[in-house]
Amino acid sequence: MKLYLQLAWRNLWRNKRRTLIATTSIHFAVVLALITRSMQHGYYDYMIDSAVRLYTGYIQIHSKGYWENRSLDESLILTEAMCNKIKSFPKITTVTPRFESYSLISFKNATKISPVFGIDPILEDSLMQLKKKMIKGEYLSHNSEGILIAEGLANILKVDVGDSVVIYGQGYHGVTAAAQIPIQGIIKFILPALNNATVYLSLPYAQWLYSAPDRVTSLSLMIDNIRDLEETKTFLSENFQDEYEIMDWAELMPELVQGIEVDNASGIIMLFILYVVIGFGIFGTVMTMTAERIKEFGILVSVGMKKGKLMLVAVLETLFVSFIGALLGILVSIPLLYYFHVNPIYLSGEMAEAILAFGFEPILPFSVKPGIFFAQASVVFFIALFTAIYPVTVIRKLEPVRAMRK
Amino acid sequence: MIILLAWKNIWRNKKRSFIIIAATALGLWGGLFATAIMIGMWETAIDAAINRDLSHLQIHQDGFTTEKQINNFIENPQTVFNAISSLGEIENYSARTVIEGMASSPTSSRGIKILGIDPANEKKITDNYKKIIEGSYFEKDIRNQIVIGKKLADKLKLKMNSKLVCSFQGLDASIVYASFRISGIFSTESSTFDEMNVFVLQSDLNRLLNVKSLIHEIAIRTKSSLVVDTIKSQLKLKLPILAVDSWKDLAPEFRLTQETLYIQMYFFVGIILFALLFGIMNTMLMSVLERVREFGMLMAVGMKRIRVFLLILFETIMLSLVGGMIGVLLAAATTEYFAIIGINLSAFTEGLAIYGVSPMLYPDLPLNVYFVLSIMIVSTSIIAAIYPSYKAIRLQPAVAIRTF
Repeated sequence: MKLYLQLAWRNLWRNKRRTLIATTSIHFAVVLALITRSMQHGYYDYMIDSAVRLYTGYIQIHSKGYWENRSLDESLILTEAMCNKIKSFPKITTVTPRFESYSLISFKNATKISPVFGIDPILEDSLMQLKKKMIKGEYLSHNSEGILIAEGLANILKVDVGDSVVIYGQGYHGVTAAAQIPIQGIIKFILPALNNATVYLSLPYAQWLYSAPDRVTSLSLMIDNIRDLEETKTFLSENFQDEYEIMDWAELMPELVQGIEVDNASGIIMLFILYVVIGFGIFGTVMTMTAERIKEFGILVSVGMKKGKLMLVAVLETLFVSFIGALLGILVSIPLLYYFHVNPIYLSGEMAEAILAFGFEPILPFSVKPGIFFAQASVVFFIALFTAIYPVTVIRKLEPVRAMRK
Repeated sequence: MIILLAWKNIWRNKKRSFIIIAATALGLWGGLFATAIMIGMWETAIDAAINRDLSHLQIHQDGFTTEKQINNFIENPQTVFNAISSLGEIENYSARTVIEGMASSPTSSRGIKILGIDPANEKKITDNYKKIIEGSYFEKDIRNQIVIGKKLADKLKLKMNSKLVCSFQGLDASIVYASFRISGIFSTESSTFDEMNVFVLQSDLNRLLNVKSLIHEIAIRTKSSLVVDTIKSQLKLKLPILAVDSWKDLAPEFRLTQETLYIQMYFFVGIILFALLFGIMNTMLMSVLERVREFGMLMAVGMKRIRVFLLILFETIMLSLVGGMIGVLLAAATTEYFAIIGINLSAFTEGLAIYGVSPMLYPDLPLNVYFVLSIMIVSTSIIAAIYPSYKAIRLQPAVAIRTF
């Protein structure tokens, strides 16, 4: 075997220029493919991560039927025992109770509708870095009776810290919830959808306002690593399935999952086209390499070399060319992708606005998941195997006497 | 003469030329067709949004689009109607009352936009009446009827003829509670639209708010989408105190996505051409190396070097042009075919619905894309030809003849 490897290797360098061109074209294809894939995957991870942090958490526990109806009547009573039980599972890092309801927020002649969140200020801050997003006033304390209002909403209502807004809404079992609440602070979100409609109350105050003592609408759980999701879900199902619904982020945001699938499919189609072109390039090279060496093959076969062994050498040559290209491509990409993984690109201008309009921050993070590198390497491997069919069939059909006369 | 020679040279090694032609053709075909699908997708999304609620132009009081305050209504709609009627090229217009409020069912409540319309006028500019899946579009003669989206109905657990309470701020800062009965349920391409918008009769809103008329928005449909910008500037001159916006201003994300899409397409076709560049260069280089003796001979009998250079250049350009043509023709044919038949993507309905894209796709490729691409192909082949041609003219005739 070593002999054949050596033979194939040396054959490659008989025409250095051609081998170099072939490897360079594969090299660039792999680099380009890796960059696009890394950007796509990086963006999906980022979308999931930020959506999970801002909106849902990795797993949520609700009272049965809450998610479908979003009704306070289907809120759950949070007990110490339940909390401790959940926290007993080591993979779960935080358990954040939330109280959520839609209400009208008015000031003087202006009224807007906004989701009202009753939060545990400390837990929520550790999750979303709310304190850092404060631009005015004071952050909530455990049971403060003030309200935090998003900057965009404050502008529309023309209110400032110190003014009092009126909240009108529907409380537990249809009781009217209404109160005049002083604005304690203003928060700035980057995403317009959040910035124009979000207010926060402390959890006990929200429970009082909506006449739902000790009740929360959801428990949002964070885990350290998305890989532990299934295990965590199984634990929760075993303990809580009878009374509560347990949903992971993919079930909570099916649109996000499908959106990612659509985008991913288009990315894969584009790559497929690129690889078809590359495949033809490699095929062309292999074809001329073979055509040039018909005479040589003829001589080798007539002096007694087995056709099978000759085929092996030819296949090895193709594999070598492809692998050198792929390997170089991967080696060049790793530092490049890693750099952008650590320092994601911040977009600006119109492109940024387009992304903001879809509810995500305009950054381009790169992914360095090993999977994407393996995927490219295996694709190149299959192309190489496929193109190697040509020299193999030529050798199989070879008639040494005729070949030698070429 | 050189061109003819180049053409004949291409066919001396049919197999090799075929590979290059096939690679170019397939690469371009795939790239163009994939682009056509994406462009088609966004155009259907834009058309759907225009037909659903944007229409071509909208007139509001200044600041209404961002703040949506009920007190910020158009004070003298009649002057606006007169101004619109005085212009040609207008197909129709509809005046709407737009109020943000809450919709509450016995179990839950949601933030919504209440659109008070006159169905006869509204039907002329939007096609939501065609999207009714249950009930009807204000055909019954009853008070306080409401037409809501399927998604909202599901979220609020409401059915046909259920009662829905809408609460919103009145003109005097008091809160108005009004109970409506669902007389129709619609389902459009956009799940967000279905969740956020409800339609009621303008006359019902006027009675509830105790006003004669309250117009926040006048939506205009022009006869052709090409005159939108001209009409916008004409209306701006006539109505200096009001805000006149075209659909592009109202939904900037569409225009932005469209632009991003074009950048993305040229970037991708660029990558494909880049890969082709290496393929073509490689093949031509091999072809030159095989023909060293031939070029030596040609130069020895007096062919100028520049002509040898041109010969190889033309061979390359023709090779890629043939491939390019086939690719573009294939792309045009498939695009046209599927533009009529449509591509069914119903497996992705939910994911497409957040972007407001219907699952039936009609690919579309603007003419200028073909033109730009032809230029890109020719330039690629010229770049690819330079190195092999340079190799050929650097040959020493005396040495070259003796090789082989």
